[in-house]
Amino acid sequence: MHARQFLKQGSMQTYICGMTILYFDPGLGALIVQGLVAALAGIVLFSKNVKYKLMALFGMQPKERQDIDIEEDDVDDVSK
Amino acid sequence: MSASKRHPSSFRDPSGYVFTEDGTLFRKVLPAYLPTYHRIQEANLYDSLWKHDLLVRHTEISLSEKEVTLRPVLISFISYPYEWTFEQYREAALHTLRLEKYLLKKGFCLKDASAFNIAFQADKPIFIDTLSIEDYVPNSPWNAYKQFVQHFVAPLVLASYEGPQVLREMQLHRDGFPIADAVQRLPMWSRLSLGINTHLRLVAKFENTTDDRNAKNHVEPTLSLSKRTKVLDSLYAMLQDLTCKGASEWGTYYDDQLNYKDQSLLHKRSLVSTWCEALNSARVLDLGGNTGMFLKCIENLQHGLVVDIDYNALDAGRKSQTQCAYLDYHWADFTNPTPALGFNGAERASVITRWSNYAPDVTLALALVHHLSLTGNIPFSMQAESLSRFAQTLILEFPSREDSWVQFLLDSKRENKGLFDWYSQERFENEYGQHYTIVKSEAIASSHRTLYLMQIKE
Repeated sequence: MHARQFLKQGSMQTYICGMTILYFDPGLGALIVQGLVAALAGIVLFSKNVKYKLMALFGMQPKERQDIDIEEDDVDDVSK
Repeated sequence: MSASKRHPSSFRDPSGYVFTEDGTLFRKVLPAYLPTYHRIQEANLYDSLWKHDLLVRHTEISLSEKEVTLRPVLISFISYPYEWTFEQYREAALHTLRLEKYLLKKGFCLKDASAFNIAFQADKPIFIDTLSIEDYVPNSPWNAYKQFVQHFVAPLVLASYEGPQVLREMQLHRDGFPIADAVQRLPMWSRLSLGINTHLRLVAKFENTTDDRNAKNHVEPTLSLSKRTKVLDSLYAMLQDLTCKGASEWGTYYDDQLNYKDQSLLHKRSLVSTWCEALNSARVLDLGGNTGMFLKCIENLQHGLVVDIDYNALDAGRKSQTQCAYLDYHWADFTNPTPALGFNGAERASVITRWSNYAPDVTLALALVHHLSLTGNIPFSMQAESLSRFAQTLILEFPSREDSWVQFLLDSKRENKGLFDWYSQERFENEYGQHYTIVKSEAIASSHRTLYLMQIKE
């Protein structure tokens, strides 16, 4: 359950969302929009892959990139 | 504890705060964060993060039921986001995303994504806010998504269209760049970018229209983990592809300027390294340091800070950096130094204060005085006064009026050239002599320049 409460601590507003304590407003709109962003993200990633494949087809090497994922054997996937 | 002093920027997060005691930096973990802290310890997460250079290291100093005290590893020099080059800013953004994705895989996440949580150590980004890590709540969206867009996406996207000077505007936006303002400034053709439409335009639209209605209806947004990681992946891909175009004024200064013959450059380099080594300089600040080429040849240097106003020169130095893990690069304008900012005028220290706290053994000011004098119109006495606030020992280069660069700058004054008759070596020595003792000086071979070693007067 993600009960949302607003607590006043002196002059500072503390936002409690579920188990987390935030010291700033995450913006409800920005939370809701992430579902739509995720759907569009699939298209963004697909178009990037197509772009790189086309570049490779014309002999253009995309610049060396660091991957977002960190290689590690002992990482447990919490989604499972 | 009576001598402890809370850091002026450490007051927002109820999880804890940073303080100094007897000159040492500590981090206090308060009861609100202790359960999370213990879960992180049990998961052995800190070790994993340190192994991958994702988070600044710390040592646990004390532990009680009420609080924990940590001593973090000191960062040599803290530069702020508005003092980063485009490449540094992008690396900071990508580092935050890599950390967030790594944490998600471990069952944790970042509760905030402020650009001020990143520092550079040995020219690599490192996350410094240890208490930003929290438990991942299954099917929850990223609370810090909007903050990430405000702190990283908006300034980087704008800079990619308008130039790196946009990043300086972060001085005005300590809580992040207003998304709607950034969208308004984007050119029409940016609509062709799906990434920008997704992470800026769409977010701006929802930011303005959704909050009130859904807050009243107690809407609790959910997001699966796979979708949440997809958001991170697309942010990462978009930011990696951004490019920032901008002509460099000084990026090839030592390559193509006519007033440096090979012989004079070699002699100058030799003098700088010999003098620095004789002074046992472990820490050197290089003002107008360009690519940092002079720091790279000083033996036994433990840390060097290259400062310049040219973003491309700094990035060129960073790219060419080999076997120089002790250098950090920092954008600053000596004629218009970054002021102290934020709450109480103390949250973010001025650059002069930070240079002073950096306490360099030697400060280099090579090929700088003529620009301060003839472009900045700053009298010698005022230059020396400003330098004396942080530079105890100074190695300074003075080009005489016969130097080709000085002649070019004087000629550009046209009929007002006579107003700069004060630019002379004698006047320079007299006015700098009010603040510094000239220890020695030596003419640089095959040039009209002289190198000075100066020591501040007590």
